[in-house]
Amino acid sequence: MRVITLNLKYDGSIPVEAETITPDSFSDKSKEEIEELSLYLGNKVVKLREIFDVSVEGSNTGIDDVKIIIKGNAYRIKRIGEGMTGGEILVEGNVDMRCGSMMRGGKITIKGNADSWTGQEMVGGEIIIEGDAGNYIGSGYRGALNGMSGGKITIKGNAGLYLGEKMNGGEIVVEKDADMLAGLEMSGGKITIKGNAIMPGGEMTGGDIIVMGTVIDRLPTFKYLGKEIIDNANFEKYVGDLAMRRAKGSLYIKAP
Amino acid sequence: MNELIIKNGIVFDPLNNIKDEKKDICIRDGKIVDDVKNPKILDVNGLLVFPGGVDGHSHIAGAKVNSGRLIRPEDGRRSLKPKTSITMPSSGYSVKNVFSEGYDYSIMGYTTVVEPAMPPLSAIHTHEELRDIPMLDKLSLTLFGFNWFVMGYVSRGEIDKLAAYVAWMLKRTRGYGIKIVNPGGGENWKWGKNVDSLDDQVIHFGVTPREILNDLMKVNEILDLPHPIHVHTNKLGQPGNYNITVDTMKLASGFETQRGREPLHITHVMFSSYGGENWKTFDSKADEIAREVNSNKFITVDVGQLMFGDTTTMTADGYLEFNLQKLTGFKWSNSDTELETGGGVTPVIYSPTVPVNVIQWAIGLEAALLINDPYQVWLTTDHPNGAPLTRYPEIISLLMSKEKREKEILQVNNAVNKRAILPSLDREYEWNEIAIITRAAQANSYQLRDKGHLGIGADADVTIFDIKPNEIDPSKDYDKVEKAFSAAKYTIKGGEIVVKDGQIVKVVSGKTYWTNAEFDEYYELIEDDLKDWFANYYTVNLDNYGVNDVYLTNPCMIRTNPTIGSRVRLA
Amino acid sequence: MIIKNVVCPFCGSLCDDLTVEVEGNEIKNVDNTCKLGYNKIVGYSHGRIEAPLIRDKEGLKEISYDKAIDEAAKILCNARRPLMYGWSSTTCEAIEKGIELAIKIGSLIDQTATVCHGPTTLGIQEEGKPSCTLGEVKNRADLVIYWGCNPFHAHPRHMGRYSTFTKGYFTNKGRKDRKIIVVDVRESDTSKVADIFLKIEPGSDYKIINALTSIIIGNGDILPEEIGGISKDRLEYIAGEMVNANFGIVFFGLGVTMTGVKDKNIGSLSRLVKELNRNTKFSLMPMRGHYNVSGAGNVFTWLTGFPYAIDLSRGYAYYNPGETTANDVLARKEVDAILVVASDPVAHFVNPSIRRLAEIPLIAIEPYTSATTELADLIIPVAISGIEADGTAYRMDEIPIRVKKFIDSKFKSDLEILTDIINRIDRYE
Repeated sequence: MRVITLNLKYDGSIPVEAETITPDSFSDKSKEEIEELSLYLGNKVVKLREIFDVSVEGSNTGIDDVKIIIKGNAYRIKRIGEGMTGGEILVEGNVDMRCGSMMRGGKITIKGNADSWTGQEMVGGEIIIEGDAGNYIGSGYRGALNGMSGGKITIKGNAGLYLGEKMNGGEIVVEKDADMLAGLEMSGGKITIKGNAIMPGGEMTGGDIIVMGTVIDRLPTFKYLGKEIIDNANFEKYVGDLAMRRAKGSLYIKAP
Repeated sequence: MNELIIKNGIVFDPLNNIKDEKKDICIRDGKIVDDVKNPKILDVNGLLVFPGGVDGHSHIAGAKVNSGRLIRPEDGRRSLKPKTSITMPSSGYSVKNVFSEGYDYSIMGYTTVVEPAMPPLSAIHTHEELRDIPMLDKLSLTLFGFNWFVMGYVSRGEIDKLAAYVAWMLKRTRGYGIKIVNPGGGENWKWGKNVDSLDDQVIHFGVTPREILNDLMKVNEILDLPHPIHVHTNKLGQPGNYNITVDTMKLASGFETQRGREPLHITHVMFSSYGGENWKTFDSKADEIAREVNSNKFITVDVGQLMFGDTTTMTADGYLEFNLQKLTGFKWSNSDTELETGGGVTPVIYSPTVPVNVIQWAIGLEAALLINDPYQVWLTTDHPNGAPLTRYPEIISLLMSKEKREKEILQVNNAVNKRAILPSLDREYEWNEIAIITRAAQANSYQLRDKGHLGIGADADVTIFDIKPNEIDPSKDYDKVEKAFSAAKYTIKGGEIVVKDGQIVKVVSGKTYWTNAEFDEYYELIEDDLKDWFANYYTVNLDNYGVNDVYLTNPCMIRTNPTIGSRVRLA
Repeated sequence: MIIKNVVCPFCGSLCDDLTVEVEGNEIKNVDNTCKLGYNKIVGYSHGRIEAPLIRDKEGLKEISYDKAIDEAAKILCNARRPLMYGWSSTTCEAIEKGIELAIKIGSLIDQTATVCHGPTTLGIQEEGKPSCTLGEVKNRADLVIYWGCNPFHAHPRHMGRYSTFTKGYFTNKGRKDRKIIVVDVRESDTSKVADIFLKIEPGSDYKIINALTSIIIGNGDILPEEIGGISKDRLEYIAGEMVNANFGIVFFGLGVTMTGVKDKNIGSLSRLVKELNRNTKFSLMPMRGHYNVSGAGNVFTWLTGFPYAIDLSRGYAYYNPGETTANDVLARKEVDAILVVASDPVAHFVNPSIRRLAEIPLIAIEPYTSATTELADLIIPVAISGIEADGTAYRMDEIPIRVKKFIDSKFKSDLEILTDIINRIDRYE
């Protein structure tokens, strides 16, 4: 196992685009090479060492035994872990938008809050957000057909708007509440919301949404199918969204 | 004096009957000349030399194209390229931004491109985009196929007025020729309907597609327009439409023209060569279409080749786009334009595992392979409808190699063996034929005298491909062919080297051609109608309608010789 | 001198039938205009900023034009995350030049759609935009729906010229040939002329639109008895009216784009219209506010591939509203300098954004004193497009019309000022 620790020393408010911070990219690079990687700060290019202090321990044989630890409040560092295929990233504080987007494998743990579009178009791997999450977690890009299609995202806090928008595979678990329209336009995969949800499942055509708390403002275009038992708990099952053709989405709401 | 000599190239220049000849090409001040005194020397040492490419049908500018870009940010994101010290940022795979359109064409060796569908009411928009497309000379065709004035004059048999109106519109929109999309049917679509045959009535207007086509073909001749009427057939995209396509082609039989050009061009013929009664019985009728073309010297077609992958469809045929959207469930835009035209846009994914798509793919290639005279069949993808423009190199390699086709056929759905004839076709295109279908035929059909050839006096638009035609066998080395056509060794535009080794090295802006076919008193003939209809039915004032030269880069006016009754061309 | 067929540079209706009387270099009268257009044109000379101004410790003071261009070039060149904002009330030619500048300096660039019809764009990027030109409405529409908009006040000539009272080819009895439905959360002067007024609960648009769609595709049986304050029976009646129309149109405004789930409302509306086209002919159209906001979207799109909220900092166009939108990058304090052209963000942005605007160098290319010029550090006065400068504008239905110049100005146009800034930056590089 090779552990690469990035100590954030940048505290500006202009976001840094850091899609190069992945186990894939770091795997075969020396400490010095990692320090020389290019990041983007506004309209200028900076070296990674200008933003982070780098320390490296141990050695690796491939991508899977690379672990990157990001220390400090990375709330202005975007695109960490983008497209990664293996290995591990631990973000000890918050993280900015698009963390783990297009991720294919490996694991990202965010101890703080994650901003919007975390896990956008994710294909595989796992993201754990221990704090709250922003909008469009596990969603698709503007206009694209699909969002997240595989892998798993766990949010221990609350999720923002449009959770799992256009999702067609994989799994999202929210321990607390989800804001409006979780599972918007989803066509596959599974979203479990342990707290409350507002208007879940708008325009969904497939997949499962399970709400264990209360549903606020349930959409009128869902059809009640009956009771169903999941893990020893009673749920009311709906199919929808019947504003869509060929809609086969399942919405389970915990029975009172 | 700016001189250049291209030495030792293997030149194919079909319009001048030069074929596979080691020949030097001399250039002075943007033109091909017979000799030069003190030129810069470009020794290309046995490489393939063609005239600059001409694409006669490619949706690159205007409201529809921009609507495609607007609704497809996910396509825009696919090919983002940063600016360089000389180029601007690029975006888009099937719907590219204006810069990318110019650069991508130029990199493949194209120097002239036709935007084939300009709605008159938004002609300014088309020209604003054309102005911003770098690297290329451009022309655009004005839409007339279900225009109210046209249908009115046709229904009343007022051919003089129709001619006057077309001449006025071409001038007012800075258009090059007559485009007809789904004649008459487009008006019916404005009530959610369509036409089914050449003799169906247009709702309210009492005319038929046949009458519209016939009269516009006559007007095209009366006005001495350089290009044939450019027709997107009725029922395009529907199973079993080959009949109406053949019927449409027959309208041109025996129609002699003064210019010696054909009177009728059928565009993206792939979409109009369908058999079967529905999508389940869908099959290729490319053989029927080719039979008609081979026996009818009065028509040309372009292929409209489909390639597998994701693209965006767009046309003035709103009915077609709506129906396509019903099949896919994808997003859909429509843009009916008052009194004139319409249009639609929807994305599509052509899959090699879907029988219909595989047959469509085969039909295009079959049409190209079965039509004997390459001057009658230009290569297009109807960009971006069949495929994005960047797929041309792949298509060229397919036309040149049966082996490559066999390899592809093994990869696609078996329907290609049952409901298409591609597997049985042995023909392989030669270099000279490729030069015809990508250059000479199109320049000829548009009668662009300075384009598509390398004779003395031609514009010095030249492409040099990084391939030695005498050292490779394109039927075996198809990968090399594809690679060479993807990135020109040199593209020379107006005498300047604009692409080197597949990279843009100089950014230039091209010319815009348009046709002035006005004749004595032409405006008086239609003035009252224009004033009346603009006042009552348009929402834009006649005075504020149309385009002026402010919107054109290097406008290039083509004068014609109308012969209409006693009236003559204006001095 | 009487000038006919003048194009009104006020709202997205872009009426092009104004008659302006000019004497010397002064406007004496304007005919055929609404009050909004009249005030803009006749009052064009009042409250103008007379010379370039720069802010120092004591406040604003006059500087030469040349010095102002110099300062603007310096501020923009030194910025690491500049934003260029506005564009909806100037010509396409100026907007093109603005994008050229944004590409050159690696800027964010956004336009006023971001605070009005941005959600419309996002909605149609998911579902498409089945639409038509205003003349199609004039000539054919027998059902006109105004949803969350009040043209009576915001687009005063719209109903008369294009959509309600006008007579067209297949609608030669004008208003009598059309049925008018208004959907809104409150009564308005527009709803007073409607045949049917659907007063809905605030924020219920999404549910009502999708309920209508479910009725139209045959799933209406599952609907509850009441949705968003409207009974199921009434919704079924409205759906019937839609299906039975020969040519229907929905005009919609900020009442639906800026409430509830915003862009999701518009996506659903587009899908409703799409489904209606299986039965009849139907279109939708956003009621665009500023006279060239539609042009701004078009120019942005053909030059960069995207309609607004574009980040050019890495040399290519990155588009992601919510991340690259003006209000978001300001509220997050990303932006370190801003150039405002032809708009008044301080009057329209949210508080956190305005606080950021006050902290950073703000350059305003503006003809009049505004909330934005009050905060500006550098103000460059400009000729008014459509009165003192000509160029292209796009109507709300994407129809381009050339706006006229009929008054000579001592000020340069937006296009000229932006060109001067670019040339000055070139000199520095």
